[in-house]
Amino acid sequence: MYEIAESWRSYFEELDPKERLKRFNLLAGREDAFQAFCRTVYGERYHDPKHPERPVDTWLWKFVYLPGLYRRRKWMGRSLKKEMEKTTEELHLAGPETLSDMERAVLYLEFRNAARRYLSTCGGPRYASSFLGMKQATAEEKRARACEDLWIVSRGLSREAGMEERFQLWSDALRAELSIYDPDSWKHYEELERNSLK
Amino acid sequence: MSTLNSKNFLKSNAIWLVFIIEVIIFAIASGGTFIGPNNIINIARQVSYYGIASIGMTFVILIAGIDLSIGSIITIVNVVCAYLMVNMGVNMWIAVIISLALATLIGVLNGGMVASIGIPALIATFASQTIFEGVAYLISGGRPISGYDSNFGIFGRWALGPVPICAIIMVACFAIGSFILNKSFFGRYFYAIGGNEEAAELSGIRVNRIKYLIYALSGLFAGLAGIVLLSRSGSAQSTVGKGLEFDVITCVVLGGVSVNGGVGSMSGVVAGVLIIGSLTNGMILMDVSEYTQMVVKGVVLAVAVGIDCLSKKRQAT
Repeated sequence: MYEIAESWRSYFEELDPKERLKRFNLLAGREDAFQAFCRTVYGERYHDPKHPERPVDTWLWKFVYLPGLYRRRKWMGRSLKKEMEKTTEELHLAGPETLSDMERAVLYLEFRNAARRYLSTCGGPRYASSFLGMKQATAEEKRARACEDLWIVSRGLSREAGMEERFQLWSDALRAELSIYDPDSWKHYEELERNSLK
Repeated sequence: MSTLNSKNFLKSNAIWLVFIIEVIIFAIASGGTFIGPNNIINIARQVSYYGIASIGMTFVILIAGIDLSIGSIITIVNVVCAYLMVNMGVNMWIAVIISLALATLIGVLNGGMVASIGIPALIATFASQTIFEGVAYLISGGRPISGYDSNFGIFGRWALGPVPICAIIMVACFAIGSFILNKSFFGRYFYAIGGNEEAAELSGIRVNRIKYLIYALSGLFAGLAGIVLLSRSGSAQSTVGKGLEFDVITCVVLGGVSVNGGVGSMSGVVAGVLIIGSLTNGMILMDVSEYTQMVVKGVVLAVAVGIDCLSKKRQAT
């Protein structure tokens, strides 16, 4: 089990990409395997090679795009599988058994960071709003919707694509983050899980 | 397990089941006239213009927006296109291109009000509905414009064998709409914005630009619907598009596109268009008065939105 130094916690807890880079540069000493991997993951997550000037978060995009694909799985079954294959590559999960302990630890915290960033947007006024965006959702409705989104991204999709094992690390990280966001979420999560298995 | 599978199948194809039941009822009630080849061609002609307009509306509702200006865009395209051809002697194709450009521009204007200024879509598009309805009256003077090139019938009256060209245009538009939604990056963006706008923005999508594009597309498809309607009717009227937006919204919502945004498919909208088209045609065949038709369509819209809202409520609890 790889232990990440306590001083690096703030890097994995920060949500703003620019602030994260500052912290990384502050913490970075002589480049070792850990720092090199963190740098690679950072680059992959926040850099769009086609538009290098544009701020992006390719991992956050997974939380935004994949639930929509899941909800259309009746028509998009093949696209869903293709997209999930692509996602395993992008998240370093194509061969999770080949990951070192250090890589698993970094990825786990990075996945949690992405999930936390997504959940931080779930309190906004437009999130889960209804009737053409005119009726704002209640806090309870927002929590339920956030839980559904996270369940889809953590379990629903991987089950649909038959890739549960490959996405285990991702699922564990998202589930852990959800339980911090809403300690009561497990009831709804279990219910979604049960319904999907029917 | 098989009971569950058939239950799921029925649940996910309920809209098509409704359509089949509707067809059976009208076929029996009309003594077979409803499913006769002439009437089917008639339905294809009738649904073509709001089928085309419903594609743009689908995009808009997917991002939890609304476009109430569709009816007035159809009207203004009718009036402007006819005015250009009849009063100014402009070539038919150039008149069509200018009218479509105008429709797209109105869409861009709607997009600007919603995305850049932040006016709620309902208010912004209601304002442009009123503005362009007025402009159509000003151009036409409230009088019908007729007497344009007979070749203009290509968009609404002509047929390729037994198939009306307007139905072919509608099918092509649905294919394009389906491609945009399912195969292009833009389609992904539409669903993403409808699902969680803030997260979509943070992940790198230029949300405002996409909103401009969506309203522009809505204007363009409404404009095309206006051209088809003008070609079918033979004269441009400044009241022709009044209330059409509600038929279009009904088709889209009935087709399973959620008024909460982020959920829906083009195939569902096709079913919604066919249901409303058949319902209108069936009621005409049954000699149901126009006012009763309005009541029935209003009830259908309320029921469709009600089911959508109830399912959201059930999800939340």
